[in-house]
Amino acid sequence: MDALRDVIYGSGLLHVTWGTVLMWSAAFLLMFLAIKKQYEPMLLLPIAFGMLAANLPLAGLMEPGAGFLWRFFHYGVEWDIIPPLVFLGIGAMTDFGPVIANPKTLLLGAGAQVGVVFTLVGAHMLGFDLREAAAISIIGGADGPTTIYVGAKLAPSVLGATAVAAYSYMALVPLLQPPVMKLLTTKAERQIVMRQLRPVSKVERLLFPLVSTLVICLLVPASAPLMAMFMVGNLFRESGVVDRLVKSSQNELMNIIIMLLGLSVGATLSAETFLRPQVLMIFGLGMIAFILCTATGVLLAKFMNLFLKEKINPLIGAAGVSAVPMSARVVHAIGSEANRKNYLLMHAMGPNLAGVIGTAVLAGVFISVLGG
Amino acid sequence: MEIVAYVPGKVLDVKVAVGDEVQEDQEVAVIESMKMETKVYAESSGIVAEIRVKPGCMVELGEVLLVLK
Amino acid sequence: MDLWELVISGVVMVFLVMAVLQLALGAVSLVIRSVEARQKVPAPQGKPVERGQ
Repeated sequence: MDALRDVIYGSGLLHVTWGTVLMWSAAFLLMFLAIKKQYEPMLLLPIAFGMLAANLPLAGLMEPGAGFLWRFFHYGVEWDIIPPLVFLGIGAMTDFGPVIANPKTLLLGAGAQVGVVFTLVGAHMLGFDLREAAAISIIGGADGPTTIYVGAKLAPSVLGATAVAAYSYMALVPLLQPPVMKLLTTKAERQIVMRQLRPVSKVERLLFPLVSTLVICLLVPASAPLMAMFMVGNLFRESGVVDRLVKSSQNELMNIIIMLLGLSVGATLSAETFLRPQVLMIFGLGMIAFILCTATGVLLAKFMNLFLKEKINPLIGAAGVSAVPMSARVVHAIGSEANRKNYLLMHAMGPNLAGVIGTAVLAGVFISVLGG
Repeated sequence: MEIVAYVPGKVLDVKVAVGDEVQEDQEVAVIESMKMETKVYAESSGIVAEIRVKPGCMVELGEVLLVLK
Repeated sequence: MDLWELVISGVVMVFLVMAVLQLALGAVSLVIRSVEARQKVPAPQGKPVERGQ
């Protein structure tokens, strides 16, 4: 009879609180968004389940030192193994042609990051300390793995919330960006037609990851874990001689790593960490970050036009918010709406990809200044 | 004049046939690029002389889709 | 750590890296194109020029 009593008392049911139930509801909501509305399901679904798993009392999945999910989080994320590997996969999937064909887009990738800096100031003024503010504002870079990387290094307490915010807003880009883009541009500017991109040779494609690795990692060494892996993945792809490695990076590796990333990050969202007023502020700041980054990207493009003989369509600046390829699609749609002769999709891919680099560089600066 | 693909991807639909008269800005094809349906519009008016692609085939950036007279 | 130092180093470094990268890529493209151009020139010199045809 004692054994039966122990089993009953060992059951988690007795430890369920309102907070626990609320977290389950939040997890179910995210699952609904992922499955029914298809908001970034590859990340949001594992994150949502991780959130559920973290709120199963006594299951101990996130028990420090012993929990199964805790181990993945500690050794995978805190030990910087998973996010760089995600970048390896992304690099293997990325075609940098649009960037190489028009290197000016690299500056646009930088322009959108200025919005992150503005959000940083705002977040700090709202009471977050610098490390938390950095982890929150980097949401504006629209880069999941980078957001997670910065969160893990600088402010693990906000990591889960920033990851959920980042992926949710990436899915909402078609709603968040257009009003900002239209507000800041004139109809005439939106109608600017951009000439077809020049073809890019194989040699250029091979040299891009090498040159980039040297430049980026020497100037901002703290971004190296992400950027070096990004570039080696790209090198594998462009070399054309390691097809097996490329295929595995794009498929098996990415799939496995993303599952583990989502689950372990979601699992940090226990009731204690999520049910705080700061989380609402984080979501608010995340949205502001996306909006500001769209604005600064577009504004920089307009500014660059003052000095360019061949004008760029300022809309592509919005693609510096590196939700790949969502923002590029939004730019194309709005450009086409203004002028049917405009096909901005590939032109927008330039800033879109440059923005990935930009966010990682800014993340590296935050980490090296604030000390990870 | 040639109508080229300004986005790479898969041709989903060709909306005209050889011999058809097209107007400027008329939709002539649909290409799926980056999982987005992009419409291709004629840059000037004319008569369709050649159609070089069909639904299902992949096109590269700059590849000729149609030729107008 | 001062907020403004973080802000300034953030903005400066992002633009600096992108500018340097842009210049490096531009330089590399230039070098590639001049190498390719030089490889094309020798061919015409190989053919004899016939006059008075």
